[in-house]
Amino acid sequence: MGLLNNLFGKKDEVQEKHTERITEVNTIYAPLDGQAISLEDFPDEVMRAEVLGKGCGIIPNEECVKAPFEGEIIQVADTKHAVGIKSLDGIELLIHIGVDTVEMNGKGFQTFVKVGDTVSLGQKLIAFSREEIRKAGYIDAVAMIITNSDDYQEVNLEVKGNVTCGNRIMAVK
Amino acid sequence: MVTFQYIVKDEIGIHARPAGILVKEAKKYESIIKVKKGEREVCATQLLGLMSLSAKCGDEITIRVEGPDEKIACSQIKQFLENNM
Repeated sequence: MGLLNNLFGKKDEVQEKHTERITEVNTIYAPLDGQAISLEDFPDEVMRAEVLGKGCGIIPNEECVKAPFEGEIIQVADTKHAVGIKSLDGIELLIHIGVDTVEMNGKGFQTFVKVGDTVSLGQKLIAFSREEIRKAGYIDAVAMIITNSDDYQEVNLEVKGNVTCGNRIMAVK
Repeated sequence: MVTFQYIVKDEIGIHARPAGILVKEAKKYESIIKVKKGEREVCATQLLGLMSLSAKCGDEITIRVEGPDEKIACSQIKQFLENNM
């Protein structure tokens, strides 16, 4: 019986390893469709100055942010406009929707995850209304910031312009 | 080790931007700087950790500084909080 359990145990472990990683190491995938821009072109000076870390921006063509890799949710803003997620490799990424949208106090945003949740690539994180953001007088650009970028020698934007959700967008070294 | 309490005055609390500048400030010192709200304590150099405290206007946070430059770090951080949040 013990042997059988062992065998099954091992089998489970192997299967887990196969399903565990479908993404490449140290890679971040686009969380939504849009236009990828470098952070120096981002319409917010704090982001441009890399105060929060290195990263990139996306001018969205759709209204739902999905998980940019497999990982764990480590922060969800009460105001629902930002989410922090840590990848299996240790990348800590903040996805911040819009500029100054903290002022909207959650209006026009809906979250699908909470702190501690494990998420897979492409899983829905936050839905937002571009119309509500515009109505409130803000810009809807999405910032993707690697908040532990000091841990890496390089943060590279892999694509500029049109990007589809799930495509490679950034890589770290 | 030096600690002090601070009541957050920024209307929208410690969100991305103020957290970002606090991280920058905390990284200037050799000492380990921790920020605690309620039962949760995070490193002041960890942006997402700070944001996850969801410290709002009127909330009390405790700052704990430990290390070779703790005295100066403590007074500078205190001043920094008063000026920025």
